[in-house]
Amino acid sequence: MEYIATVDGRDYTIAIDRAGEATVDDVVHAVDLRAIGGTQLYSLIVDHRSFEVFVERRAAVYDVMIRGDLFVIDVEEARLRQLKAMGGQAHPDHDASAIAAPMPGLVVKVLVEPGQAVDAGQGIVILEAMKMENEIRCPTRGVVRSLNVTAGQTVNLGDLLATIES
Amino acid sequence: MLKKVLIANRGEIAVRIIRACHELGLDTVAVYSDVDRAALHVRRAGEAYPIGPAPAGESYLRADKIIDVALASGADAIHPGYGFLSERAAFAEAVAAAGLAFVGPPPAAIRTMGDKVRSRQAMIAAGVPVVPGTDAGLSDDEAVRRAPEIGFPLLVKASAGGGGKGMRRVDGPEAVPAAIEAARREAAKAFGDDTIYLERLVDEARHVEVQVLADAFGNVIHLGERECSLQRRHQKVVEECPSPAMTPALRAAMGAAAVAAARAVSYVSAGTVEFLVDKDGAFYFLEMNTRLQVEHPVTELVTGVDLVKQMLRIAGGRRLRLTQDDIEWNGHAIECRINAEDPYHNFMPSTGRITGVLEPTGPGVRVDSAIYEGAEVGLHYDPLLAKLIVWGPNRADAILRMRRALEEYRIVGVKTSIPLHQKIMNTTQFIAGTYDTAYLESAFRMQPDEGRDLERAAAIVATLLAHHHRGEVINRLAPAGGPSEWKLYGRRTGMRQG
Repeated sequence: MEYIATVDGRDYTIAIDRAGEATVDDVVHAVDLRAIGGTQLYSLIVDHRSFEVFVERRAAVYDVMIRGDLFVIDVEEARLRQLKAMGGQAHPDHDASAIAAPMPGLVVKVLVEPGQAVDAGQGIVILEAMKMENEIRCPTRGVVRSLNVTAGQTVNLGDLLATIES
Repeated sequence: MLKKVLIANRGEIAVRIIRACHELGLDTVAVYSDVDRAALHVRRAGEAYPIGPAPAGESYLRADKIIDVALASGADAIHPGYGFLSERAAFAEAVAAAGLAFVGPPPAAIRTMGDKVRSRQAMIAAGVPVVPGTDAGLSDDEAVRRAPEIGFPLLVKASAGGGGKGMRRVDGPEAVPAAIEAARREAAKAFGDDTIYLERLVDEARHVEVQVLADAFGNVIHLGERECSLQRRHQKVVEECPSPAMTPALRAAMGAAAVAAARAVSYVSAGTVEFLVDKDGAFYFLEMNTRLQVEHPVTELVTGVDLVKQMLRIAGGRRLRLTQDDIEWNGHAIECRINAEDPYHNFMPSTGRITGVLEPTGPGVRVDSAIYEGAEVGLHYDPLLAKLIVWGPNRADAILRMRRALEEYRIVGVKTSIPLHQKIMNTTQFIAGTYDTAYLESAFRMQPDEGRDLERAAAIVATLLAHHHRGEVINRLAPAGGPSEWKLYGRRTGMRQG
């Protein structure tokens, strides 16, 4: 089974056909991955090199942390990538437009207005939690389609704050 | 001497104080809010009493309830820790009025040092250097005349100012009149008040603080400095002792100034005098923290003095046995504050259940922590989970040891600032010791190190897991027959989590 793992714009073609082996860009590596007590912490041994890694899975995207470095990795089956390339259709990013509250808290201030053009990284709302103000930033460039909260409102984890149209 | 101490705090500092009490043979009383029933300080203390709901205002800040518990439990002293009630003069007064010992300074010292104007005046009177400046309400002529005696660069500041409005930097005498005019105009527009004053701008400043210990008999000593320049949002992130910018002469001068500051307010107990140090080694009084500091362990590791035990002895009416000549500084200590926050996502607070903890151990490592497997990290209190402190015979060894200890530290379930510290320990600014208070927020970035080894390993992990998850899906779709090859694969690689 062949996959393409994309990290920061770089593609790794990784084939997994037999247990204990992974072929990365045509080089065969001996691999052994074990979960340590749950679904977040893993021990990886690649060609006798030992790593401990934290993993968080978000659909097909994996956040992998090794020695303090965070890698955001998109894994796709190679044949699906090929099919998509033939169709010429880019994969739409379903969640890019919704900004959800990353934690419960109090909306202290709303920094944008509906219809306003926003840049990636621009502050959308300020959410107070743990006695600190946290700026919730826009993940993408676009236009504010809707604002779903007002100042003074408390929100729960995952509540919709705003939607951005790319 | 005291017999039973109530700790009016929670988290790692409450556990730290309980440890000191138990080593001294003192009984301990914990207080806790509703969400802290299972907290470590409650389990470690000899006695524990509930004091109200989760919000601090209804529990850990309720001076009346805490004093009632102290009296009911037969405690003879209250240690306030840091934060919460620790720097409230009225609480220290109420504790004394109830016939209990307050493990901290006298109320008058808390009050004077808690007031910016009064503490500045007290320091000037005591000969402690303060940031040069004028009183507010200067005329234009006075401002121009006095600017050179303040020294350049300086700031023209609006009395009513805030958020940088009505503030102008001036690098030389010729620019003073224009800056005054601009600051007045801006201040009048923003605040309706064009009163100004002048203050020296301390450029490329380091935040260096001096630990003092004082008893009730007038003995005051200092235990050297802590370097605290690595800050984010005015919160200290990493502290070390000694400061990389320190010389024996500067330490003696700052130590003497800190002792003078403590004497000026008849200070008793452990306290910390904070200074700004400029690039030429001139230092200026900032404020005095009239309590135990979060970062006190770095001083303890380098001087060998247990500050919490000293506070307890002094509160029990004992005389300071240490003299200034007894204090020696041996080696180097670094502390990293481990917060529940995500350094890769704008330091967003991270909440949830801690499902796994593996603390670093081994030579030269100390962990002051209050977390455990199953602990809930909520939003009610500050995000400090633990402090990792290491000692080494010199600064280079301490940095290498800190890197090793950070790499050992595993906290599963919430995001932590451990990756931030791993990055800091690898920056040339930290290794060279050339950082200032602006560094972390201006020049520092969370970027992966060069080299693709880790990236390739990460790609392999993600792909193996994707492959495994795909297998799970196929299993669910095709339940008939024996174990599929995917399941076997999972078994062989030991990846099934059951």
